[in-house]
Amino acid sequence: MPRVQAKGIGKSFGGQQVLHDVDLDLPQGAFLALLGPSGCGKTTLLRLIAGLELPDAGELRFGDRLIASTDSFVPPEARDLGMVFQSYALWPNMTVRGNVDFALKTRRLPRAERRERVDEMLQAVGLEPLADRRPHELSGGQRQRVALARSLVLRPALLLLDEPLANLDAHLRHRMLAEFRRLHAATGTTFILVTHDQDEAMAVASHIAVMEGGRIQQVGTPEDLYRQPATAMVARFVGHGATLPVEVTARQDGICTLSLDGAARNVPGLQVPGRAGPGPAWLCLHREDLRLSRGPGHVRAQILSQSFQNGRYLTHVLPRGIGTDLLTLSLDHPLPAQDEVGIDITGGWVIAREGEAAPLRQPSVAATADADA
Amino acid sequence: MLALALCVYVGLITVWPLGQLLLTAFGPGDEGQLLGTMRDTLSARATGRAFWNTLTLSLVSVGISLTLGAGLALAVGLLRMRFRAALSFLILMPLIIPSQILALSWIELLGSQSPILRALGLAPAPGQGNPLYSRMGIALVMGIEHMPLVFIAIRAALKSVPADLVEAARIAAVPPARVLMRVILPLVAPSALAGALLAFTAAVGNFGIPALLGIPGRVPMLTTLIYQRLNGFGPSVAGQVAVLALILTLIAVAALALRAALMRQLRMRIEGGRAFSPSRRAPLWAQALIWAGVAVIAILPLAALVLTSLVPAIGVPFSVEVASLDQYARVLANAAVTRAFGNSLMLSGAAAILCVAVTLPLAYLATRRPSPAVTALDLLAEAPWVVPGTVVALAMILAFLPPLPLLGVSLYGSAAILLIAYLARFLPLVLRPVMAAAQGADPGLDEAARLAGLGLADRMGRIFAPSVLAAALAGGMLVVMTAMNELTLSALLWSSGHETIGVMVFSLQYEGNSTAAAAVSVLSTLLLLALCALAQVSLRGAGARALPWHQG
Repeated sequence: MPRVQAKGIGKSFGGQQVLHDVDLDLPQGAFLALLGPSGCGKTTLLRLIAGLELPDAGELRFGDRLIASTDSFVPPEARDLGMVFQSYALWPNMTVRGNVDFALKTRRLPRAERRERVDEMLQAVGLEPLADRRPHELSGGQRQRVALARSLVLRPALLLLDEPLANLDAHLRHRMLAEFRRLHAATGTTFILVTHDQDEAMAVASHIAVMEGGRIQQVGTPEDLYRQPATAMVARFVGHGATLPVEVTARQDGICTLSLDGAARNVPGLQVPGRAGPGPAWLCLHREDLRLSRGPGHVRAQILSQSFQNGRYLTHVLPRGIGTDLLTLSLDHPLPAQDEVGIDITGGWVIAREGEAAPLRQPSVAATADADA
Repeated sequence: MLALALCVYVGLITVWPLGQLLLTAFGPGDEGQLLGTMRDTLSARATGRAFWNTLTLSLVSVGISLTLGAGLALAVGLLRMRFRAALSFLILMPLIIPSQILALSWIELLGSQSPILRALGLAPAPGQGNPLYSRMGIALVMGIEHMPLVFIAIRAALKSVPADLVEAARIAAVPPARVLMRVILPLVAPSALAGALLAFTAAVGNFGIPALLGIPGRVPMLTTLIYQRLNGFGPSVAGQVAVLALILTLIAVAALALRAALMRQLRMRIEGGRAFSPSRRAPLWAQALIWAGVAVIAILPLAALVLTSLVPAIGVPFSVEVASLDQYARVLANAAVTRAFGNSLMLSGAAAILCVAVTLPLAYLATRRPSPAVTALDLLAEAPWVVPGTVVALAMILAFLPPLPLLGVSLYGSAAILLIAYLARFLPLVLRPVMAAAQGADPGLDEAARLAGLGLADRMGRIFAPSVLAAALAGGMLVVMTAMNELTLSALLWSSGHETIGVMVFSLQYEGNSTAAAAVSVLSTLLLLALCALAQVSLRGAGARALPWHQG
């Protein structure tokens, strides 16, 4: 399976369109995270790739092989893939070994080879001592490992993971992420992981596809998504970003000259890289693009709250007269709340703002306060 | 105060009668020897024969129930087909139709006068007896009657199989037959076993079928032996029959205890999630086979019953030319029959209303003010439904035949004893759905009302009652439907002037007037189906789920 390719995939359930015109091109051996808020269609896309749903439009190819289109369909059992379900879906009437062995047994592999492969897999996920337990006697993390072993023992070319960490606590989540990275490197299998947690996606994936409203907003490496978001949604969703509505006055060699319309104090001539032509635009910012100004600064802002995290003071401020997103700065000293400060913008990324209304979100501390958590 | 009133109520209609039964069974013999009654009865040959018949025929019937119920449940649950709701309803018919009417319809279907088999040239010769008047006949009809219990259990289990488990096997390229054998069936097996034990309990306590098939076929069962003894010798044999009733109770309770233990042992912890729904379309031959099977089980016997009721006189073979409604005119002109309909409707209606009235406070106390006493009360209230109906009837005779203290009148021979028996036996039909609804409801509602200063009566009437009303109505409908056609209790408790529909059908058939029995049966079945339709229309959502045909 050299690569996974989707072209113009559409899917609706009972008249409601869940996927619109989805294109995807994933190189072999990649680790793709399908990232998006709940209800964005990411699980449906995964189930389409698995063959558990049929597309209404478009086509899906594994390399040169047509896997699914409106008039052809390769059933899941013939797709050579493994899947880890959110519920783990362990067969409760079989032991750990039985779960891992079951599919091999139905393939009539010689007993010795089966045993060897199962042992190897159980060892790989560290479950050998628990091989004779039943699923209900295992912890969540152990069940997760059984599910992984069960799907990898068939040596699939593609492994699908449907929110595999949703039911685990934060500590286990980190360990399992490390496990995923290790198994991905060791097996060379292409992984596709569905998640709503951008930290999780950034931690493991070589590629991330951000989805919203049944469309793929952007596909790229984690760096691409962070540094050069394609849409305001991606900019806000990835890396705890914030967006400010601005006006591009000129653009040359990939550098946009901005005017911060409506800001209480407008310093002309702010220059930020981006790909928006003259006109309304979004300025996408992360924490490291912002500094407390010694002078008046590019933007005046009011301090809302501060919290002490990892040795720094995370400071949430509300810009005066521009946008509704909160900005977050990382400072080395506390400041009194309600104070007005000036902020310098030292970086960022500019994208066009065509027909896109300013975000209707209420200023929300929660959206940024978990930064660096 | 409320709890005390409920205690008195349950004590009077349940604990006292069943206690009387125990005392009688353990009482001294005629010559006063310790446990004499029990020793005498246990050593009697008739007891042994009835015990053996009850045990073996119940087991055979469970085999039939399990085979039919499992086959149909797997077919309906695993294959996609049209008219699945209609099919489920038809499969549940044998459970909805009262057992004496089911037995009668099978008698008409397989007898030498069978309007259907005669047309096909398959009916037994006129001299030959009905093949159902035999051990196998009893087992067969009981097996069909209790098949829906197994069907319901397996259908429910299939509905709770998570889709993920099947999809995981599919992705691992496990062939469908192996998915069925190794993934689905092991998950369903404990429920199938539980359903089978339920069917066994029902078979042990069944009265209608052994009464209509076993009495003419001279196959005594424990239930019919109790009935025949009491009918033949009157209350003087109360001690003997109390011992028989105790044996009956022990078998039934043992089966239920085994069921509870097995459920605890075998229950598999299955993760929740999207329920499995079949994707495989049923092939035409399979659909034809299923419909043919359901037609034989649910439609043909009733058709035979209807056709028999259209015959003008006993012994006249059915044909379109002779078909008439004469039988109906005749039975409706019969004062006893119309009285029976009136009695049954009134008794079952009154039982339903009173059961609902008692259930509301009982369920309120059990869920919102739990205490050991209330829990015990809840358990005791279940007892008359758990033990066979014949046992309840006998307990009522033992308790209410002697004149009541203070009043000096005996309730035996009045309609009151029937009403009390119905109240005791059918209370769980309302209690269970209401308890389920009450346990599902948010207790915070009551607590919030309490903090807002509402008194007990206000909270019960305006917060609790509306939240369980649908379930209570469904339970009430169930009581009407069950009590209206019941025979087991009234066969022992009726008296002249206080006949019920079940007794009417039974005695008409017993007298040999099978066409009149068929006509009364058809009328009462129509009434029952009308009630089902009424329940269906008037109860939507939560309440409808308590109706038996919604469990298919």
